Amino acid sequence: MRIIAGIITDKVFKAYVTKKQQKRYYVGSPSNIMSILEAQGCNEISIFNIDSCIGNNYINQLRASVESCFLPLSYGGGIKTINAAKKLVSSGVERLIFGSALFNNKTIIKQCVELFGAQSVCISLDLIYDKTSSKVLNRYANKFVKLDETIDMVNKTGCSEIIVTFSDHNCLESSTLPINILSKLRDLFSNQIIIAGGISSHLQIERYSKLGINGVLLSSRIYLHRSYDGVCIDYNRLTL
Amino acid sequence: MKHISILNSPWGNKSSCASALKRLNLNYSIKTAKEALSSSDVLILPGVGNFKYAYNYLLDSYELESICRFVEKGGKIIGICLGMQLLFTHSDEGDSPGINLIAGKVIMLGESNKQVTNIGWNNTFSTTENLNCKYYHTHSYHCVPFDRSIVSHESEFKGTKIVSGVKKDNIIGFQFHPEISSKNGLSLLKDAILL
Repeated sequence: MRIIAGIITDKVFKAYVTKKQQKRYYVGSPSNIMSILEAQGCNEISIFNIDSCIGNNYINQLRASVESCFLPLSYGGGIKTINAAKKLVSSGVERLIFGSALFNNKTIIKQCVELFGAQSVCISLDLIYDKTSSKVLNRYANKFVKLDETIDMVNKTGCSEIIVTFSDHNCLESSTLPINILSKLRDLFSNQIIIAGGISSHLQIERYSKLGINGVLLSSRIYLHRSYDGVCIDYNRLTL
Repeated sequence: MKHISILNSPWGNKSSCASALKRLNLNYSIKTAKEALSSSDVLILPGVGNFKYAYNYLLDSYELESICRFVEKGGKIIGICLGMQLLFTHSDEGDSPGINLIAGKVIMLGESNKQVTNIGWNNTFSTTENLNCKYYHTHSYHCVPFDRSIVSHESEFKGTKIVSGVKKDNIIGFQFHPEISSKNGLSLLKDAILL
């Protein structure tokens, strides 16, 4: 089971934790966090740029961070051109994560698969479980697309991995996420599936593993943090 | 002191390789194979990329020729991930020929036509040192050398043994990424360069 540590950054490469994807709490320099995570035996790191703005300064700081951390690194947020993708890969990113590009810019995903190989391309999905219709929908902007259709689109891109975030966190936290949703996902997509969001216990990780899920992405859960308090990074709290 | 060149190419994680060599206090630079011919003892072909695209680039830029001359001259070549695959005769990825420094083929992982990818820290067995170590793998294709005696590392994917490393004279290949496999990876990379 791959246990991936997520680091959320803004456009000036400062790390934050977010609450309900809205309020941001500053937790330090991604470079320091990456070094600490490596020392704690972290498997992989994913960096998300929530401002979706990749400036030269951002790339330079990312490159500097890679110099001090010898772990696999993936990046997501604002990859709109093949040049941006090339800059990211040449600065040490090993996998590129796309989100809305699946719906509005498939070309960039296909170009990256052709240039960097399928193993270097990942698509992030934002799923919600509609209890009334018992359907799983993928949220893109204000539209909802059925799970089958979404995965069909993903398969056509040739990417090797999906990161599935369930926006309805209660669904995961209360352990009520129907097993058949994950089983269906497993049937529809033969490659790597990573679950993100709302993971709060080791038991939950074990359950996903038994369902054939390949990994989990932990983000705010690796930080112990309250407003005005210090920040403690504890990768092993959930993973050991 | 040995001088190491990381192949300057439009694909590949050159920066991660450079960071690893910097950490190991080795003398390196990012160069074309042609430049490396006269100035380097070791040439690293970095990973992350598509086989056909990479091969066509090497062919069109005459780098293929320089790489072969570098090896003939006695230089050591280290291929990482895609870099290792490129050393083989042929790849199913894009149905493309390779540099052909190692006789063998590169085929898709898994048994069906469905693409599967091996991503994660896999237990890797060193056939030369007879020990297991975890290294980070990420690949959808794997190498099958015709001469099994050159296999230096093996790992398992879905119950099947796959070749994770080869060593043939001055040609070394790693299917995994030693440059991002933390301390174990750095130590392996250092040995591959210096020994």
